[in-house]
Amino acid sequence: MLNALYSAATGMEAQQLRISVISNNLANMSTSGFKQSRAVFQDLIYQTQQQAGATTTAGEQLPSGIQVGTGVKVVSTPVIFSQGIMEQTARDLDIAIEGDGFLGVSANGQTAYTRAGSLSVSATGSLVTQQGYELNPPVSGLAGVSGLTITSDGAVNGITPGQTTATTLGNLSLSTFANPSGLSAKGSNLFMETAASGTPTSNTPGQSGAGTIRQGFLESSNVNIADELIKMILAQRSFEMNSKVVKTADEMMGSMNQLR
Amino acid sequence: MSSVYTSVSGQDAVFKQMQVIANNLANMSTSGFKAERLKFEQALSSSRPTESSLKKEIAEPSSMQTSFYAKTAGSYTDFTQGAIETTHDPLNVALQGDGLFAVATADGERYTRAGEFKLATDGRLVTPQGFPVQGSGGEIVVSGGTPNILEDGTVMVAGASVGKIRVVKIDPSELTREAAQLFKLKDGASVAEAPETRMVSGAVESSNVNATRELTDMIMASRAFDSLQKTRESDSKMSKARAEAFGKG
Repeated sequence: MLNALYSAATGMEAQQLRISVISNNLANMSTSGFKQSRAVFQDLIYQTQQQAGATTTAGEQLPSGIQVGTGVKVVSTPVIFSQGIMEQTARDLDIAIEGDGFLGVSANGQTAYTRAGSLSVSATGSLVTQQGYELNPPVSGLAGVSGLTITSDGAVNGITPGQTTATTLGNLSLSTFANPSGLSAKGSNLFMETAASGTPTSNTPGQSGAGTIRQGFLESSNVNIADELIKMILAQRSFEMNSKVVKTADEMMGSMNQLR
Repeated sequence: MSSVYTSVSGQDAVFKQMQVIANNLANMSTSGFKAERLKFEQALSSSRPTESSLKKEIAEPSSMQTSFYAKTAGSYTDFTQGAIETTHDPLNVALQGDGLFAVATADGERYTRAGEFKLATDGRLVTPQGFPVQGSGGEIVVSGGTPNILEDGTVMVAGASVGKIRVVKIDPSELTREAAQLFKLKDGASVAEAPETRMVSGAVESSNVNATRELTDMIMASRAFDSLQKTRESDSKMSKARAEAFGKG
């Protein structure tokens, strides 16, 4: 009976964690460049209470054994990097990545990766994210430049003061990973490299499997509200069912205690 | 006094049933999970002493307790198809119809219906636990872009095939369960290749646990437990009355 209680407890715990993942997805419904996560469940070990083929005292062979499971756990919460919808903003420094890849940024002395492409020119003339993190590799020398265009292959063109024609002032590169789901989310739309993600490969946009750059667009969050709400209902009901198991098992134990 | 043993073994079976239900309900959101079923009704009916076992009890009283339950009770895995749930993850695949994926673990080859795959650091297609997924020609290694899995299990990267996911068919009675939705082949059982099994990518097969059935089973188990408890109570009262009438020496 204790087994049933423990299994139900693992179920409740796992559903609670799933709700946390869902609520974070829903909270970031409007965060551009946000990628949804999903709780992945796995069952736990099985206790073989009776071996199939064992011989009973009556001399008969058991046709099948009894295997009893011990519950569930959340094994991982991988980020799903499916493409978000392209939202047109008509702002020169808004870029969306169509396809795979991340922009590298220097955040607190480390290289982080992001798909949120709402960029600005800093006081020193470098391209920075909305949080003020400089791109890595950096694109600088943009102070006073007009008519900025960013091509699909990442070339940043503009007219520097005193010139009349546009020149290429820098290039954006996209970093791709063997296993993007293994990246560690750090908040502020940033991801960090981990042992699971593999090391980044720097590519020119549009080459070696990297996506292309779309100027004047932002990639909206890939959260699907209807999906998340359905998952939330399912998680809540599953939680309730597991608590029902706890209640029933408890009642049985209670009535056993009544026996004299 | 045999009714005490009957009700005790009956309650023991109810406990087993509760454990199985608890595990099934806990795994309602585990993709590729297959519900476990206890052959409980059979066990209950056999819990009643049969004529032959009554005769046996008279001849050999101590053999009675052991002959109750265990001989017919068993559990089996219900392999009915779970619903296909879209996840949009290109590395998720759901099997349509019979078949199992083959994965390599440290303890040997195992089989699963859970297709929530990911890529390892070295680009190998692995399960969330890190077990490499077996292709028809060994492990599948992906490099240079997001893979796309076709209906027949071929893994495509930038228009070129890098392998084909192996699918096998095994008689469900030849499998035993292990953690992480894995199944182990019983000794001497055989595996048939099933390259014709279709797959859906960007989706997973959700758990086939039927909440209505589990909750109904739980109510039934609870009621069976109560009845058995009543039997024990009346038996206890009867022994007490007997002790008072004939006892005290």
